Amino acid sequence: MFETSEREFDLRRQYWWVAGSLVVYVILGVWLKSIVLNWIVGPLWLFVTAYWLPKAFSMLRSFVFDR
Amino acid sequence: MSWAAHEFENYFIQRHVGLKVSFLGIVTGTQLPDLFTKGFVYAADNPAQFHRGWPGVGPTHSLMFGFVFAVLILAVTRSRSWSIGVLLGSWAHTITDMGDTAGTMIFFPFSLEPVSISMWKHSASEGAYGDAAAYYSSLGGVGDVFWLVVVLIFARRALAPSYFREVVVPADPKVWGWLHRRLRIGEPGLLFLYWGFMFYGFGRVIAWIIYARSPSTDASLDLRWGGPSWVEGNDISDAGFGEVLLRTGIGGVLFALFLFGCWKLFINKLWLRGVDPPQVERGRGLSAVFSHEHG
Repeated sequence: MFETSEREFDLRRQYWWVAGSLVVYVILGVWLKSIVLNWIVGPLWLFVTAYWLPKAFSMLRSFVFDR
Repeated sequence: MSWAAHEFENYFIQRHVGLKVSFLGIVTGTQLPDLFTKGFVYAADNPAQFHRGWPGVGPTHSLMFGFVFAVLILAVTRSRSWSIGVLLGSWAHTITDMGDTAGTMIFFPFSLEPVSISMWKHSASEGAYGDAAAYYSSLGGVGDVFWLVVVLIFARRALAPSYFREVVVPADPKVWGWLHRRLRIGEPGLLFLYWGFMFYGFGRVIAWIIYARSPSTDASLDLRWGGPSWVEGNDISDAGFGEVLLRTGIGGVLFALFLFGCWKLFINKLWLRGVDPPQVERGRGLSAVFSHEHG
């Protein structure tokens, strides 16, 4: 189903994103319990912080600098 | 009630069913018993009775509840892998929640007797944060860590990107394919969605343990059976061991007969008109569910 280029993403870099995302999640979780530690935010947190936000940031950067 | 155990169970089950069951179906099943009810539990006059008893929403924590949803999914979508996933996930939730003092009416409606091993106290009467502090001061929290260790030892391979690509996606190509094509989520993003419940479970265990152990909660650690002692019992049945055993035994036999009758009457037909993902080869009996092709 996936293209070869999609498969070969840098796993080591992804693991760092996961670890960083977890630290931020725990810190915010202790502080903002009901907002962060719920069934919606919790399972989607990793996807949003480690995939969607970097992708959105990258798109924004290319939009600004490639004009 | 159990907390992060319901997230970790998903990966343990997935590792043992391989291609034959949808991971998203398992997740739906493990979340199903609390999905429509948990928000109301803390506001109830008697949270344990409301959550696990009858009258109340206790039937959501029964084997019948998962069975009804699984049959409905098989009838409507024809998807065998989703139907079994929801069944296994829901049953895992029901059985895991037998660990607290309230227990679960596993054979509802054939037995209204909650079955419990009373390992830790059902503490919803303390409110959401008090419940968390009590749970992570008791053997309930130890149970969460136990499930985490079980996954890391016995189901570690289920967390590998290659497992996601070769087993999880082919077991449910329609949904993952839809997310990939329609929402334009690449493989890393889908992998993060797959890891999401492991991440959530691990993150919430750490965060709630930090909270429970913080001086502000005043929650002392009590790892004795049935702890913590500073919470009221919340046992919703006053029946003795023999009575529970008898009622549950009768309920279990009736439930088994009910399943057999349903299979003969209509589920067999629904199963035969059901469909599998292309790569799935399903045998008979338990081999129809459990997979060893990726051992």
